[in-house]
This record gives sequence, C-alpha cells and structure tokens, in this order.
Amino acid sequence: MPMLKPIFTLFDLIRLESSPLQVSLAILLGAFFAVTPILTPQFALAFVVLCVVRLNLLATLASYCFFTILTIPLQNFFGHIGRHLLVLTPTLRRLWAGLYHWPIFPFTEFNNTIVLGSAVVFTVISIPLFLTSYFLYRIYAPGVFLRIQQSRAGLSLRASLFFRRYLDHVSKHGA
Amino acid sequence: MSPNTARKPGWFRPKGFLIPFIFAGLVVFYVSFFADYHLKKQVEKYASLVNGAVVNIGSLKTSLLRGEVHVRDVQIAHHTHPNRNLIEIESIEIRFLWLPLLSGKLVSPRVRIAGIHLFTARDSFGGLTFDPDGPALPPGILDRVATGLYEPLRKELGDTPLRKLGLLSTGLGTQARVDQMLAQLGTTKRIAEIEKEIKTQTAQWEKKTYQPESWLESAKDSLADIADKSPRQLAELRPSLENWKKKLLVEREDANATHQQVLTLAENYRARLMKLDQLVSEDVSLVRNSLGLPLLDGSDFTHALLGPKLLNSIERVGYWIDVSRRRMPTTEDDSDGVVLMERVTDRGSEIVFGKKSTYPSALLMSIQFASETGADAHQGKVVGELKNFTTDPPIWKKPTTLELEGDFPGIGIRHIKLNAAIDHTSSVPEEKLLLSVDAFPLTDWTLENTPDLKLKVAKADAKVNFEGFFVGNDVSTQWTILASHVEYGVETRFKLMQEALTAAFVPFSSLYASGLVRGKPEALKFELTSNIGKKLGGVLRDTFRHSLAAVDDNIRQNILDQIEFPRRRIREQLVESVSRMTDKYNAYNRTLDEVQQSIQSLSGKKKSVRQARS
Repeated sequence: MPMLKPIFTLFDLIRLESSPLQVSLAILLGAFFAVTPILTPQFALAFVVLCVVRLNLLATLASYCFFTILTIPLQNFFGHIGRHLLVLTPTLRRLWAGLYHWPIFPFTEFNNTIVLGSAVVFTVISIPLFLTSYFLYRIYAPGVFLRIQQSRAGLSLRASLFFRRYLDHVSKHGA
Repeated sequence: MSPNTARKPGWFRPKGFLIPFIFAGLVVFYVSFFADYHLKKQVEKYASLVNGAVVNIGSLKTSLLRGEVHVRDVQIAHHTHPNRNLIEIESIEIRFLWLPLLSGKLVSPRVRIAGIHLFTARDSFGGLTFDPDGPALPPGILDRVATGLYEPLRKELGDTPLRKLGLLSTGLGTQARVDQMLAQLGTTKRIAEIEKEIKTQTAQWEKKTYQPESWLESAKDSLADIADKSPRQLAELRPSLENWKKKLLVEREDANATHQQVLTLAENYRARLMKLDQLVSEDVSLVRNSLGLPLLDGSDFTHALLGPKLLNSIERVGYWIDVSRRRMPTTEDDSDGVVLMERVTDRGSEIVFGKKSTYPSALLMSIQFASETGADAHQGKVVGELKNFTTDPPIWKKPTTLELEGDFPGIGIRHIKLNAAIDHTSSVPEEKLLLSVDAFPLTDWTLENTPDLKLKVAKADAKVNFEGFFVGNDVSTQWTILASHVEYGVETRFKLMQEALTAAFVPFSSLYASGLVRGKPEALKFELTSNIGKKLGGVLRDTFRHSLAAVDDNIRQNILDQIEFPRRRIREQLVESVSRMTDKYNAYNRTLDEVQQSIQSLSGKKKSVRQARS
C-alpha cells in the first residue's frame, strides 16, 4: 500500500481538478507551454502557475503534446508574422526598441521572429480555445466518462484490486 | 473514476510553491558548482572552432556579485604547428556591468590581459579532430575556396612545376601523352577542319559546276546535222544565233573562272596543310604544359616557391576577415533612430534593436595588454589596447581598434608593431591591418618541398612588413620580407641538380621577397618578386636546358608522326578531286567548242548563200 501512495496522489491530482474551468484553463496553459521557449521568464511564470493553481495536469500535458505537434509545421508561418511585426512595421519599431533595452524583457525572446509570431497567434486563439474547450468539456465530458465507466475496460478496472485499494485510499484520506 | 466522496478544494495549492523553490535551489546549486566548468568547456569548444586549432583554458571563475571573470592559463594552439602554442596567456581579468546584464547584455568596461608568451611548446596535440556531431559554423572563406571561388588563383599559385623536375632528370617518353592529347592538339583540329572543308567543297563542285544549261542542250540539239536541214529550218535557227553566241561567251568565261577558282582553292588547301608545321610548336607547348614540366625560359620562380604560401596567407587573412564580418555584422537599416540588425539562428531570426545611448549585445570597451618579460624566454613585453570590441558595431557606432607593441627578446623577436581597425559601423565593412616586425629568427622555413626538390631557409635573421586594407569586397595587401645571414638547405635526389643548387645557394646569404594582392576575391591580381626565385630560375635553366630541349624535340617528332599520315591522305584526296574537276572542265569546254563550231559553220553557210544570191 505505501508503494502505491505516490500513484494514488497522482491520480488525485488528475481526478480532482476536473471542473470544466480547470480543464479548459489547463488546456490553455498547455498550449502556452507548446509555443513558448523553455528558458524564458514567461515559461517559468507559467510553470509556477501550473504548480500553484489547481488545474488539471493531465489536460495540460495532453494539450502541450497536441499543440507541440500541431505547431511544428507552422514555424515558418509564425516566423512570417513575427518578421512582419518586428521588421516590416515601422510604427512598432520604437516600441520594440524600447522593450529591447528594458531589464528582463529581452530574456522573453520577444525579438525572435518565431517566438513573437507564435505568441501573437496564441493570444489571438486563446479566448476561442478557452471557450471551445470549456463548453465542449461541459457538454460531452459526463457522457464520455459514463461510457468509459460502462465499457468492458472500465468495468474490469472497477472490479480490480487496484481500484478497490484506491477507493480505500479515497475514503481514508477524504481526497 | 470520479467518486462522490471528492470534496471541492480551493483554487490554490500552497504546497505547490515548493516545486519552484526546489527548482530555484537547483539553479543556485548548478551556478555555484558547475556553471564555471560548463562555461569554460563551451568557450574552449567555440574558440577552438573559430581558431581552427585547440584552445585550452586552465581555469575560469566567475563572480556574479562582484561582476568579475578570472581566466587563467589560456593556450591557443598554432593551426599549422599543433605541437606549439601560437599564444599563451597567463591571466585575463574581465569586469562586467550588472545593469546591462539584466537586459541580456554583456558589457565590460575593462579587460586586462597579462603574461603573454609566444610559441611555447604544448603538452598535448593542438590539432582539431573533426567532430561530425559538433556544432556547425557557417561556411567560412576556406569553405568557399573549396567551392571554387579562388580556383584560378589556387591553380596558378598552388600548382608548382618544380614537382616535375624529376621527369627532366630521368627523361620521359612523350608518345603516350601525345596519343592521349591528340584530339586537343591544334594541328589535329586544323587537319580535321581542312578535311571537312575539302569534302564540302568537293561535294559542291560535283553538284553544281560544269552542268550544261538548258539553252546549251537545246542549241546543241538544234545545231546537230546542219547539213541535212532544209533552208527553211536554217532560216528559223538564224534569229537565235546571236543570242547563243553571247551566251556561249559568258558560259566559257564562267567555266574558266570556276576552274581557276578550283585551282586557287586547291592551292590554298595545300598551303594550309604545309602551314601545319607552324602549329606544331604551339602543340609542343601544350603537351609540355600538360606534363607539368617547368618553363625554364621564364627566369623567375617566385610564384612556384612563394605562391602556395601567399595563397595560404590570403586564405587565413580572408578567414579572419570573414569571421569578423559574420560576428560583427553591418546594417543598412537605420530609420527612426533605431538600428535594426538581424541574426539568423537555428530557430527563426533574432532582431536586434539598437538605439542611441544604449549598449550593444556584447561590448568589451577596453582590453588592455600589459605583459612584461619574465623568466620564461617565450614571455615578452606587450603593451597596447583593443578598444570598442562589440558584436553590434552599428549600434555602438565606434570602430574596433587595436594598437599593440611587443618585444620578445628571449626568442629573438624585436619590436612587433600591430595596428588594426575593424570599422563595421556603416553599411560597407572596412578592415585595416598593419603589421611590422623589425627582427625575428627564421628557422626551417620551407620554400619547396617535393620528392624532387627540397629547398628551405635553414636559418636567417628576418624582418617583415605587412599592410592590408579590406573595403567591402575589395582587397589590397602588400608585404615585404627581408632576411640576412641566410643559410639555405638544399636536398634533391639528382646529383647534377644537387651540385648546381648547392654551388648556387651556399654562398647566397640574402633573401628578399615582396608581393601584393589586389582586387575582388573572384578576380584577385597578384604580383610576387624575390631574389631567390630568380636565382633558382637561373640555376635550373643552366642545368636542364638540354633536357628540356630534348623533351621538346621528342614531343615535336611524335606530333609530326601523328599528323603525317592524315596530311598525306588529304593531299591525295585533293589531287584526285582537282584532277576530276579538270577532266570535267575539259569535257565541258569540248561541248562548248562543238556548239561554237556549229554556230560558226551555220554562219559560214549563210554567208555563202548570200554570196551565191548576189
């Protein structure tokens, strides 16, 4: 039983933060991770948010994987958008120049064409993505969960020793 | 999976703060114990790649709080002598500013370099081993040489004919080479041309000339059997007689002219075939050049001796110019007071926004060299300063300058003076390099190293002067090297040559060489002169004059043998064609004569009838 405790804790983390808001915000955060370079302040900040705010970890991970794969063929597109904003729009040039010389700001890599392009695209799609995932989850998730529970795999899992132990753990810790 | 027992917790997970703190602790741990080592390894790796030979750093310690970096015992291996260090530096102290560091900029107001040693022996081999998985730098000028940018120059300077001296000494058969090059020889091409022309011409002659025209055929038919014709028939023919007479005259003139033309052309072809002998001399040179034999009639061998060295120097200087231009790029975009620079990375492009009164990404304002002579003979006195060394010259708006003076009395190097300027502040990059060394020992300086001839300066006292200006794509450099008390080393496997060269070079104790290179990389013009090149030319000419003449004769005879048979064949073809044309001409003339006689007899008949009537 003590050996299974970390696994049960992980299950708790995945199971508990499963409200539509928590899941859709987690999807948004996963998409943000997918378009942001790792060694940047915004990535560190998002990581702190992921650690501190109760969001669904499984949804974050799934969203990160999905959007990482999705953005691979879009790098050139992001690059074009970034170049357009950084180089080909003279009106914004003074703004970028100002930000470039601020403390900390250059570490965000906003002056990289792909990073800026992907950040802009993320900003544009973030609200539709949030709303879509929120409503889809709210409408379809209960039905999907019910179907999984009633499926052969779901029934055999519920009948397993592991699941009974997990139910014991839940009743004992009240989590 | 979602039991009803689950309670609703709040939005925040207080224990979650532990994870970022653990990460922060790990970062501090890494920076305290491992960052310096990894930074040292990275700097060594990058510097080695740029230098083309290994760069080692003894120790590197950073102190972020004090804003200092201390580097000790830097060894920069020589790229062509990997068992020696080009430079060894005892200590480098770098101070950097904190505030720009927060904006991701490395700005150092002062760097101090002390304890400079030259040409020290290395403990380990300093050559670079190729690492296929290593980071790839953008192609440098050396790579561009491989793509053929300097190909003509490389070919001209790098292919020394002295490699083939052995061929002259041992004698060589040229038959195989002549056979091999037959299609490329001028004489063979000319013969093929003439043969083709004759064939075409003969076909034209056969087709068009001496063919009786329609009027002639009808005249001939009409005038046949005049005696049997009735007076009425004769009277009908009479109006045409004058016309035929005129045409006959014209036809005869044409036939004569054509025949004359045939004879003239035939004579012309014969003359051209005879002139082939003049082309043979050119072919001899062609074959001889293909054998790579030295042209001993040229009296100066400076190109052969110093050409490869000049090429290496051009490539090396060009490489550093290229590195500086890639790492310190210029820009053309300077609008709204914002200088825009672009750096291509493996993930997109990084745009640098320069503004007035801001720092560039990396800047070393002043690097001071302060080295004194010490117990080690290789350590010398070096004083000077490198100013405004930056990755973004258009932002800093000041050119990088270097002024350096040095003395290394322990190894005999006196008064090195180095002035350099890298001005990439405008759209056209400019570099300047002035170097002079008043005295340095020249030892084992190889001038020629082939299996047939090894010539080197074993020992000498030398001085050198170099000036180079690079503006955009234009290169202008010149250099001079003077040496006295020179002891030459000559080694060859041919006794005759060994004796001649030893006799010439042993008492010869001076060396003077100078050169200049100008123009654009794809069409560089160069000039090289030296007293040793002329000396070597003279010795080789005297030694090998007869051998080279024998080779020329051999080639000439082989070429003549090769062309003799086709020449005779063409001549015979020509004679045959002309004779056939002459026969046709004679036959045609006979036809014309017949028609003329008939016309004359008809005219005679007309005259006699008129007389009888009267």
